[in-house]
Amino acid sequence: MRIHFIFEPDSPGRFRDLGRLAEQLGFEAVWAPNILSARDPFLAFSLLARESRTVRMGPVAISPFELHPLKIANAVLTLNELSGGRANLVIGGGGGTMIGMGLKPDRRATHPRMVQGVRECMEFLRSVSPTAPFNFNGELFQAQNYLPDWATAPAPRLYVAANRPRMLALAAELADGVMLSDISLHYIGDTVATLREGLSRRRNGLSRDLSINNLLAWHVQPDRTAAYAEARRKLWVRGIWERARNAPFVDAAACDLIEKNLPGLALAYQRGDDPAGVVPRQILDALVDGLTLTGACNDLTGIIDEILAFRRAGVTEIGLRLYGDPEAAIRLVAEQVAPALC
Amino acid sequence: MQIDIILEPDLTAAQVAEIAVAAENHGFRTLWHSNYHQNPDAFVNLVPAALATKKIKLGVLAISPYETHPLKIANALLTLNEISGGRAVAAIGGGGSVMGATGIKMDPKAQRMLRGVRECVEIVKQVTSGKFVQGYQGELFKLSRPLKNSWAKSAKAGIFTCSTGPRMLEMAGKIADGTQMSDVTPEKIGHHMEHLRAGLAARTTPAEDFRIGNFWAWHIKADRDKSMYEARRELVFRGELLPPKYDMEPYVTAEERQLVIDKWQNFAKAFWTRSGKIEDVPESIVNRLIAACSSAGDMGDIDHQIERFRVFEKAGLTELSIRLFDEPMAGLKIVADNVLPHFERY
Repeated sequence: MRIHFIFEPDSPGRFRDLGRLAEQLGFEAVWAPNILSARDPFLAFSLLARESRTVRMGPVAISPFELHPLKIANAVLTLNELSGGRANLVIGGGGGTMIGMGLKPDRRATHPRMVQGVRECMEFLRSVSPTAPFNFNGELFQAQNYLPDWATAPAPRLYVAANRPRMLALAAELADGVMLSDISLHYIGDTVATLREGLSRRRNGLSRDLSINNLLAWHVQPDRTAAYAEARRKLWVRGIWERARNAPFVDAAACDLIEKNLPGLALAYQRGDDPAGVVPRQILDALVDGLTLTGACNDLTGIIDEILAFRRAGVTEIGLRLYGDPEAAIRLVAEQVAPALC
Repeated sequence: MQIDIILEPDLTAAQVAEIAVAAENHGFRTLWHSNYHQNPDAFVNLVPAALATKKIKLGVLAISPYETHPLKIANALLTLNEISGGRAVAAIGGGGSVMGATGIKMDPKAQRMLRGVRECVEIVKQVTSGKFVQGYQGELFKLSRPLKNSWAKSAKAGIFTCSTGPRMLEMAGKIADGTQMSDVTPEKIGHHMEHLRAGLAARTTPAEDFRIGNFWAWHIKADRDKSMYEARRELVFRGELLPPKYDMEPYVTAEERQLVIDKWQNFAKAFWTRSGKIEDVPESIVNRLIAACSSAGDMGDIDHQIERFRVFEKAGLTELSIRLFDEPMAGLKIVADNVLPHFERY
């Protein structure tokens, strides 16, 4: 199982330093989140691309509804050229950035043509060739006579952000990898089964080895209390507005309470507050246990067991979403987690 | 008046960086990276140039809100601006090759292009300010969440428009940090400046250092034949020849103008076949249009071009933006050695 890191938004210089540390310690890839008021996620890796040799890098996730597939292609191919063929990219249906652009009302909403849009974007990106111009006439996106003859590095690796059956099937059909988001052990078996079923429709020419990456929040700190506090502050973006995510870990009454308090939970997240003032802490901590990798640095046994359980379920990559002190996290994972996965 | 350089969009990041270093050493003000539909992303491709230079400004020309949402333009501009230590510029226009390539039909009226560019400039200015932005409820573009790019520490990025028409020029004068006209000839620059000044006069907050540029095609080479080939090949894109106005007067007669309109596809063919051969149009017409809309010829023609550039300077241009085509480093050196000494170094 491979370990990737997903950083908090930061400067290209900081991403270079963190990416090089990950490279030195033998990790495969680092990712930049695509966030409303953050640096452009393609530019964020421009320094690392030039000053590293093996680590892969890219944004997670870009939606074709926020950036036309042709513009996505130009951006990822430019990063790919800068890095000598080490660009990664996750295409998704659209999250907070789309909300910020006024393209959808909230996180629970989806674009009415979301799956079709991601499909067309992937098909467009899959058709790109430096030697053969092509026209693309999708229902949603078109491009004429596209020929990036300058893009000669090995093609970037394309992932699809997916959690639900139709998008999972699309990923299995068209992508090099899928990036799941905060899928708990409770659901991972069904999710992987859906992906494997989708492989029967895999596009000719693609490797049969679909990378299955599960993004999981990493809140491991020297102090367990501080780790849980950080995890609670970030719990909103683990998708707790979906009742089904929470149901395996708390009872129905708690699920009701969470649903009733979604606006308050969202506001606490936006303000960086502990939502324990909105929903009782024991409920939140149960979700933290179920949906994240949280604990103290001196006791990683449970976390390692959980990662191994994901591996047994068929997950091939874990994307650790880092907060707090990313250097310490990378070193800790290198010293204590990675050896356990060998 | 200072001199800018505008590059072809097909250079590698390493080539752009090499030219940026040379341009900075010569004393050019801004190096502009063209934004076309099937070329490297201009913002990403400028990063090595930003790292290799200290003074020269680095711009993207032109980017349209109809191809990229203003928020994405703002974040890319601001990121490049931070990497370059406050030297990034973006010129925002209504159209461009990306729109055509992505099936967006150019219809300025239906697209409300003037409003679209204005809203884009306003959003980009707010987002790149580093200050708290409550949101933006435009008619065409929105920011529906508050945001603050508190990580922005460098001097403010430059936010220009690409304005050549009267209303776009007035809008630029009212709200932008500067503007880039396109292919405006010395004979017509005064007329354009009137509209720009009208906008500047209506400005609610005074411009600290409003920049006025004009994209100008430069083909002069040591080899006259090479120069004229390049000028013929690129002529279809000169503003005087572009639809729907197909201006061209007084450089050709009304009859000649109609012939050019009728044979416009042959001008396009000279470009896309790279032949430089404009079929069925008399050479005298082609040469007059080249002479009017660009700088072409050999080294002996440069003095005359300097005189023409003086007209731009007297009209109030703060920078002339020289568009280079083939062999850009050689072109840069010719301009640096023969044009720049007559104007202000940056």
